[in-house]
Amino acid sequence: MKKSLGLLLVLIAACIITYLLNDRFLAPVNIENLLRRTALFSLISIGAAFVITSGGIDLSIGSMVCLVGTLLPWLTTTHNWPCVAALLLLIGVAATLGACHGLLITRLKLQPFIVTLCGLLLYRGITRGLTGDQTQGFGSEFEGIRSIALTKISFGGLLPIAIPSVAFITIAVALLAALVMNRTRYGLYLRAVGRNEVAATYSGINTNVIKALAYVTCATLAGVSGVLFVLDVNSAQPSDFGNFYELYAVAAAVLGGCSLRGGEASITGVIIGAALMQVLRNAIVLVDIPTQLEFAIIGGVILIGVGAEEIIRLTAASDKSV
Amino acid sequence: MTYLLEAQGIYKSYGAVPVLQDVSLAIRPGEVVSLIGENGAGKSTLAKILAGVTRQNAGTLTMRGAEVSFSHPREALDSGIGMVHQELNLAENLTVTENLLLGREPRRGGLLDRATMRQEAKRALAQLNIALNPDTLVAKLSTAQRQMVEIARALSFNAQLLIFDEPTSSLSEEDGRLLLKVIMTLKAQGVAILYVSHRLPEVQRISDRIVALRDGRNSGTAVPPNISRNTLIQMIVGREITDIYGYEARPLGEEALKLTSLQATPWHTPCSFSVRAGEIVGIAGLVGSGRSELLNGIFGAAPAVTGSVSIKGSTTCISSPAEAWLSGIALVPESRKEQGLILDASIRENIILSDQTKKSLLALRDEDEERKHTASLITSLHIKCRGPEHICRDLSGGNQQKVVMAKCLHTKPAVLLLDEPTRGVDVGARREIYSLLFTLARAGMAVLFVSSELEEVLGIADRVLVMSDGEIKGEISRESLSEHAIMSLASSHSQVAA
Repeated sequence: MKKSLGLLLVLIAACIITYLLNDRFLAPVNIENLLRRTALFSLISIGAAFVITSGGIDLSIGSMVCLVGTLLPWLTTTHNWPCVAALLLLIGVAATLGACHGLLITRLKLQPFIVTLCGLLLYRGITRGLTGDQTQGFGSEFEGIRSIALTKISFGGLLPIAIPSVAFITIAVALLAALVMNRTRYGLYLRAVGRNEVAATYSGINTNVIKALAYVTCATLAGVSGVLFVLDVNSAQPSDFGNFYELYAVAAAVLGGCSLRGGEASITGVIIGAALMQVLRNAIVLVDIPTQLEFAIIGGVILIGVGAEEIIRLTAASDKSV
Repeated sequence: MTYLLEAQGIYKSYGAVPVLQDVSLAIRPGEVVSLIGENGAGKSTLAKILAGVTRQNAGTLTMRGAEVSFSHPREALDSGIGMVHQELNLAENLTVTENLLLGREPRRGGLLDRATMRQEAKRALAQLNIALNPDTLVAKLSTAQRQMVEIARALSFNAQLLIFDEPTSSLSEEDGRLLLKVIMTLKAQGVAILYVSHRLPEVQRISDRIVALRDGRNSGTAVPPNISRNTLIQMIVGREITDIYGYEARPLGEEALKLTSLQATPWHTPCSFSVRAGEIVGIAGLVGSGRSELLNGIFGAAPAVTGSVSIKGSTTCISSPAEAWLSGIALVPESRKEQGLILDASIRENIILSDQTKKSLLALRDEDEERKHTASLITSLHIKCRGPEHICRDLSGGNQQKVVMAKCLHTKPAVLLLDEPTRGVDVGARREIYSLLFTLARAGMAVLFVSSELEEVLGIADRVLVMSDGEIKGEISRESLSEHAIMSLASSHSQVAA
């Protein structure tokens, strides 16, 4: 909790500085945009947090977003599938692929890095092959389903801005994720497996199932956000849709207090981490920093954030450890 | 005679808690000084200060009359103080030579000078008088051999003082004796030894002087020979403990655990035996004789090859620890830090992990209930801690072991398996663990334990099975138990037909 508080202060500071440099930061359109982007990226970051807590990593998130996000309009427009059927199929595919990651990692004992790296290459390659590398979109149709992502709720003028519907979806998912992580046996076991898999096994925990479920959760959330991303932007180019999203997700999770050593998770922290990443990207645009520098700036901030935290941890530890 | 190393008025605290207060210690060249005391008495902290792992808040260290101060183990090594750690610090994927010279490899033209390295390593190993191929990968060495490599490493820095922290706690009796021999060899070469140990018999055997710590202060010095075990125990605990085991016979019940031609691993000989409710059975044998593998086979951590296990008359198939817990078998594993506990989790979280009653993974937990339950186990097992949320890493070895036991008792098992239940545990906590085992047995639990400490086996077992080469060589009842009886069975290797 303390950790999340520190990160929250950094987020607030980033917001204030950006506002001081360009007051358009607080324009309702900008805030709504930020909320929507944060909500979408939070979803994949929560998934990444589950996998990281188990002591693993998922590099296939971006390609999963691409697979689901590109094939949804492809199935519905090019192949005239009913929207609901395409949606169910693709989310099912995402969950199944997650289960495959889990099985390969727990049964064949392959390393998570390798398995999901292959996922990263495979899913994007398959998507590009199926679609002939053509940009996919819904055109002006499918307004019903697109409204899932596009609706905003304005609370009858009580708030100066309208809240995008995806924010509510993310809040619901986050509450559920926090409940699972902190209050259920699954969450307890997941943290136990991440901290010490051998001791967890000796305690009678079926560590394979626990770990595999984390990959299913992550892939499913990536699939769901793939749907929401494409509904939001209405255009998915197979070669770059979702590119690097796994890194945004992992970065948000790590900033939010998940240790890549496993065993630690804070859903609140992950969401603040995702928000910080989006504010930074937004600031780069608003403050007229050349967008080519985006990655350099984000990389630098993550390094400073994680480094500062480690230094604090080490100082605290050297005070009390034996 | 002048002292090699003198520590005076050492004070050390972690946060507000003083761990060492005004502690003094002096060692002469070629002298073996043992440091004894309960867990938490400050032995390890003092050893770490001398070895430069941590630094004292007040007090002075003098080496050959000159004041020294270390901020890194390497600085201590350079002034001639080496430490052989309880957890060995070797790189498993490197060879013996590479480990010995790690960080100061001789170089020629920027490249490693392999020939000189090998020579250096051979010289260091020869000083110990042991045969070990310097090109072997450390991963292939036994614990005892790895320890020798650590000692050789310290010696190759020309260490004049070697600190051993619980060196025999992970060795068999036989390897332990070998280590003591090596220590005597070093002593003869003029190396001073600081020997930190819980094992009083060996302390009595090798020490020139025995220094005790209690609650972070010097609590007495004794000069062997003619020091009784009781005198030492009194120095450690501040009161007299005559019999730390407190064995008493109990009525035995029905067969609780029965193995039928159970073969734990392909190199084990199938074995059949049973343990009755209320009975405490010990498995003795040398390290590597296959005792832990047998327990792991029963428990399903490494499922047995063939054979069956029945609990209270019903035969069960156990292929994973989860099934073992569900059928009423609990295990206190050999390594509490790796297998027994999640060190960074709280006592509460560790205890509830073992509860494998078939509830859905997504069922909500009741933390208040968990806390209440944990608190009651903390009270009944006398775990010294700040409460259920205390992180296990910060507990002493004895208290950590009690948490592992609490975790087992939490599921109310019919059979309790224990692998080296008191390794690295001090006298006081040991006594509590033994008395807990007797209480559990009286309440009808069947107890099967493995121990490398003969005295412990003799002290608490109703019956002893002796293992060698994966085979149970014989059974000794309490009436005919003796150290000699066990050792002669344990070292009887299988006869090869001519």
